[in-house]
Amino acid sequence: MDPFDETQAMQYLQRDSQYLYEQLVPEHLRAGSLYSREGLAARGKQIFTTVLAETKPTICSEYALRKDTVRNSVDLMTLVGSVLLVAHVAVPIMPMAALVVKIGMDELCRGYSPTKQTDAS
Amino acid sequence: MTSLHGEFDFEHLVCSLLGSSELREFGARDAILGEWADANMFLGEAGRRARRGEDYVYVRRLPTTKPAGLDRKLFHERIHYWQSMSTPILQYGMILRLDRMKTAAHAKHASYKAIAGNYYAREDGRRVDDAWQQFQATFGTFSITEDMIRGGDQIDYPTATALLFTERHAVGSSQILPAYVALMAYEDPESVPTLLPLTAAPLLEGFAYASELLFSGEPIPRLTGDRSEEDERYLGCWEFWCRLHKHRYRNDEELTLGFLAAVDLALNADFFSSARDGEWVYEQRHIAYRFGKIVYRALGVDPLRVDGGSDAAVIEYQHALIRNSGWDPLSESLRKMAVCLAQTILFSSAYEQELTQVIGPIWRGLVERPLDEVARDPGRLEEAWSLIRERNLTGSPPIGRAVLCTMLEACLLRLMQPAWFALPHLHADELGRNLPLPIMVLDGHYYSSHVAPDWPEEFASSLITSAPSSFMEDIVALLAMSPLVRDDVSCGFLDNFVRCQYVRAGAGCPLKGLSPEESGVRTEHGLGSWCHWRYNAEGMQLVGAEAKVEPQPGPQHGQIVNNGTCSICRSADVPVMYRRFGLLARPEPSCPQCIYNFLVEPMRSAGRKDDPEYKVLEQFAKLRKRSFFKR
Repeated sequence: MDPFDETQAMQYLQRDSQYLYEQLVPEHLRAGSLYSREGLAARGKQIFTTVLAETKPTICSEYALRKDTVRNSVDLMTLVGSVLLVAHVAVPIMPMAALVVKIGMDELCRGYSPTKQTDAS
Repeated sequence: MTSLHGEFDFEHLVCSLLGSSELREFGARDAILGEWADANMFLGEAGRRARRGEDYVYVRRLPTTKPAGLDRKLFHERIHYWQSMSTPILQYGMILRLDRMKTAAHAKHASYKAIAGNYYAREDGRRVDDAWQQFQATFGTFSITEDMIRGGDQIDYPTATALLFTERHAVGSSQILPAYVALMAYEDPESVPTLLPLTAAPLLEGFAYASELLFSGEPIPRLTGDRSEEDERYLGCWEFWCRLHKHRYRNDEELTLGFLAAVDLALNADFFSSARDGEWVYEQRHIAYRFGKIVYRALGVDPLRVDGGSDAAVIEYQHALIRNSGWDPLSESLRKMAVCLAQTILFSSAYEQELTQVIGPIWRGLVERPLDEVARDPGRLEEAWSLIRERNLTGSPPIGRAVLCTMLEACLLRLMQPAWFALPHLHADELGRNLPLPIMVLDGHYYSSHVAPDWPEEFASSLITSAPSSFMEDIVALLAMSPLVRDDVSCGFLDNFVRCQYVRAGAGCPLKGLSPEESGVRTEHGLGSWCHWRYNAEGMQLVGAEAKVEPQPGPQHGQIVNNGTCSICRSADVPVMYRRFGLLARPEPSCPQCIYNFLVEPMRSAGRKDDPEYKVLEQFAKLRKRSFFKR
């Protein structure tokens, strides 16, 4: 995992989605696989969808709790990144957080209700 | 532009089909009785097998009507499969991978006999690690720094092309290996020159992409100044070849065939060559060095000419390059690899008492003699191959043995038909019939294009025919247990983000935790905690009686449950998340103070302040505390 600071967060946010999806493929997977052209980004998209399905409830509940304190996109990336970090997702966190921020939290969490996901056990 | 893509995982021989709506529609349309009925049929059979202690791998035949564009993408992945099965570097990589799994299993007091591989791997982990590090150094790409370059010329004119000689450290080892890097400048002065290490990965990709374009009748583009990283990966080696050789060729067809022949020769390295001197060993074993030498030495031989057919032209050109380099014939390295594969298969089978008695008489002749000596003794080889074929190695095969058997078949096929593998776009049908892509995964469904092998009549009697079903089960086992290569016991399906059939059918993943619905499905079909991973982990005794934790309905990974008071900061009603794998689950508060206390502080007290992970955690904790700790 790369060291993180605000400058780096901005750099990630400025990269195009194709690049960010490619960065999502963990190193051990890249080292053991060969792809068709644009296949690496397609694999990244698949991983993004899988990880997002697992973490979306947490991301949205954290966002619902703290969105008033978010000042800019770096703050938002920090919020998403810390949720991913604590969730121990097996993908690089910064590109994942940057993609979530690029999609937009309001779009991502549309229809989400914080009360729905607390009764699983 | 099609949105269909493929990924070939040469560690486990699984091809993943990636894409959007077209593939999802294809998967849904292919359900014979509809998704619900298909899932229930799978679960019913899987439950019956689970009660008998067997795994169930349901592989469908790939339908003939496929989405447009899939055939071309599949052709690219098929080339990678043919490369994986028949190229010595990838065969050798598979043996090393199995050896590492065996070492890890032995260290965990699991049954190392359940994994194919060499006998010494169970205890001599150091030997396996050294070989693995060298393999990785010759395979993957790497970043070039100035201090690594030796003897590079100053580039002061546009479109310059040069080979730079660099030193490549094997990871975790003090050994330095030589490597060539292609340096290519562009006419656009704004463009940064390309620096491409000529390792196996870009060669494999460049070869497959060039063949894919030839197969679909499209020209192979050249690299330009505004290229992307991906362009360099697929076209870098081709561009390098064109810059040095295009002016010597009559037409693009011959230029392309020359490129394919040169890459094929480079990838057929001889990993077991007797050390004559350092230079010889580097040329034989280290792909990035070998290909650099081939490209320059090719300037000293006549260009490839297609006057008597493409196959003959490619073979003749490869022979000319070999003669010019003073190397042994290509068949020599292939025969040595065949012996190595045969030996590994026999080692893997020698634990079975009955088989040991059968192997006994030939053991001394095949296994206890130097490998290159056996390679020159066709009688011994024939004896071993006959034994493997006649026994058919049934029973309870160790993980990886069916894969090694198929690799041996492919090795023999390459010896018989070397031009097929150098020109896959011209021999797609022959290769497809003999080495069909075994497993394609699409959203939890497994497909195959396996049909009966079609060996040439005169060789049919001397070849093994591994049962397709055992081969596919072997691949699934290899994938499920693959984290062992990194000394990890989690499931390879999770690790590789591949959805398995059990999850697809609604039975969930016991390692991640089951929802009440998934738990109900498992109870209804008597599946318990059975899955691909569980079957193989029990077979290896990796999951002992004391460690058997039956999955309970509970929260899924990442799900929040209100778990009461945080034990550290004493805040009430702290949301608690569950970690990735159910077996390892422990609650972890997500409040900033707890991130700091649980994650940052332990790393600091362990003296890991310079660890990049520590820095990122500390930064997160600080930022989060500053910006978001408002409740």
